[in-house]
Amino acid sequence: MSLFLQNPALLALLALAGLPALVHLLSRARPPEYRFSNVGFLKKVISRTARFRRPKDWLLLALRTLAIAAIAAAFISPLLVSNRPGLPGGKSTAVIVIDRSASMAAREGAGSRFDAASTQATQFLESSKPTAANIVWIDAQPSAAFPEPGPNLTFLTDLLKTSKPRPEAGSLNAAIDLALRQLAPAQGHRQLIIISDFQSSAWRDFSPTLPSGVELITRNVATSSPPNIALTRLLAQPSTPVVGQETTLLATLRNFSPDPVRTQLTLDADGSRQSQPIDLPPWGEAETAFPLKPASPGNLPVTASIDADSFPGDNSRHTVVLVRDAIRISLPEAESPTHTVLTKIIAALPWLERTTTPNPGDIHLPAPAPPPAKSSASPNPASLSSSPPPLPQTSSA
Amino acid sequence: MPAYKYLDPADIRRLKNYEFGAKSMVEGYLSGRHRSRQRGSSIEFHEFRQYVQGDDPAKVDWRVFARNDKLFLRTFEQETNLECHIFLDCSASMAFPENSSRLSKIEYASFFAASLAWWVTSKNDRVSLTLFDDGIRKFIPPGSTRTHLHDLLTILENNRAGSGTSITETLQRAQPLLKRKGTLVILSDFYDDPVTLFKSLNPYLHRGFKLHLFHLLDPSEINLEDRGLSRFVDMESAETLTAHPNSIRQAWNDEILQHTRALRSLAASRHADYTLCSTTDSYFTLFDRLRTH
Repeated sequence: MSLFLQNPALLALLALAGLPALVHLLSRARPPEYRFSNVGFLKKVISRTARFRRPKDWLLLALRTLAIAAIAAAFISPLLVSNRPGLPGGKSTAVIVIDRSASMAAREGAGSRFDAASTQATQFLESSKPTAANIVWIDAQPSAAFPEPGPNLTFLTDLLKTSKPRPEAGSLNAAIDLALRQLAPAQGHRQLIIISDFQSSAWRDFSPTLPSGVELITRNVATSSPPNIALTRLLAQPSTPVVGQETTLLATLRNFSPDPVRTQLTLDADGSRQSQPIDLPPWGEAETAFPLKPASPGNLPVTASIDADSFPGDNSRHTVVLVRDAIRISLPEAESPTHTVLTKIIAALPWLERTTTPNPGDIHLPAPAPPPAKSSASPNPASLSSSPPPLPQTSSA
Repeated sequence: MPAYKYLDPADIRRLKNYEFGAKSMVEGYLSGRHRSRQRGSSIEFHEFRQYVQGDDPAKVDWRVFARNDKLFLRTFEQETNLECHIFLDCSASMAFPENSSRLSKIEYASFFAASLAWWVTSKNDRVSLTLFDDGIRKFIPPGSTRTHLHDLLTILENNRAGSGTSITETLQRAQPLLKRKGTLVILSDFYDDPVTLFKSLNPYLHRGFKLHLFHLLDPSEINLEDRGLSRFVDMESAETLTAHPNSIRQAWNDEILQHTRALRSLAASRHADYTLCSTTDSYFTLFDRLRTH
């Protein structure tokens, strides 16, 4: 604990506390003389009453000194700054960091972990009633309710009622940094409250450095580790099929529980619905494939989903498959028999399309080599069969 | 009569009203019921005095009885040659309060002593005066003449408060000076120890003196004045003490009360008269005490 003077220039006022003692000494030194008939009698009386009188005199002197010191201190305005909880009525600032990542959507009893976190945050605000408070969300991009802690606790409690977890991973370091920046300029008692399920996968590498004077309070809302099946991947192969081309949709599932699990994987795409059961070993992974033949070009939304569990956020995945109407072949103009043949082939196949300007995803055919210059010698038929033309190269997307 | 500082003509007039009653006091009381050995004959008639139980009925003046229906004795000079011994404390403490509109204790005592002396001598009785502080400062032997009274009053006028107090030593030294028993009137502030004081009075009591102790105190000694923090200086010893009267008033009052109770108790046990008197009360109340005791 340290003492801070808000008006140090008035420190000299404390010297006035010595005034009663000075008056006491000076007045004792020269009180007016009074010639009295019998001082001996007085001494007898005083010696009997001194036992009661002296403590009262000292007490009176002490009280007078304290009174003046208190008045001087009121002007100097001393402030005790402490890391420990402040005195009742002292100024306090609280920043509540709430995990709003996907794992907070897990069901814990009647509500979710996020519901429990909101309840705990609300209870803290209502019981502690800090002078100023703010909420920082642990999102992928952490954000705060106010630009800086403020006294409007009602707004914060209302915000907690309407907020929902997000299906994304939270950025812990960024969120804590934001919270500490909010607390830095605050005076008085400063508190950082973190409410999360403290998933080891996310918090394993988290070790913040808190400045002195900030009290850290953590609240774990995860009472258990319920089993979870997650759809970890969904992709199409090929990723940009042509209309009518058979495409394979690969879905990967992972079992985050110590028990084997059977779940139903369902694929919705192009108006069709397919499903198949998947068996997963404990803490294991499985991959399955769904065939798909898009019937029309354009963006084809595909959704894969599994049975609902404690973590609904990872029970479905979406992707969009770009279905092309034809394979575009970029063939520069050239005068060559190869070019002519290729041009005819492209024209003959309805699912090939020629383009002169190459685009990503197009197959680019280099310009065939010009024919050799005419010479007196008759053409050698064997040259036609030598060194076949180079294979066509597809430009990468 | 010439003017004297401590003998107010108004007091004389008032004392004259005490004459009849004073007779009984002087003769019936101060006299200690002294009787003359000589009866009738050549002793000069002095005055009438009221009959008290124990008097010789032969001396009753039946003619006065026939006239007034009251019993009176014819007294003669010899019988009324009584003595009153006044001891006046002149120690420094008796000059309290100084520079005040109130009478100091010594002035008050001097007024009473002067009146008493006049009163006694006006009856042709004898009065002595002893001025003392830490010893006998002045002793005027008993006398009853006008000249004697004049000397007494003059000494009182010129008297000033002295130094310390020692009543006990004074009383011890004065014993051989008082050859005849009579009435002993002591005017003092009696700051001495009561037990020691009465030890020194015992010889007088044994000799048959009648004692009157008049304890004179200023009102501010009975109840300490509120003067604020003060440096008390003893008028006799020059001892000093700094104190606030407010903080010790109650204890002082208790102490004075205890002291006066002790004096009163000891006086009562020895059949002596003790009176506490404030100097703001009329000193004629002391004459009343002399009358009733």
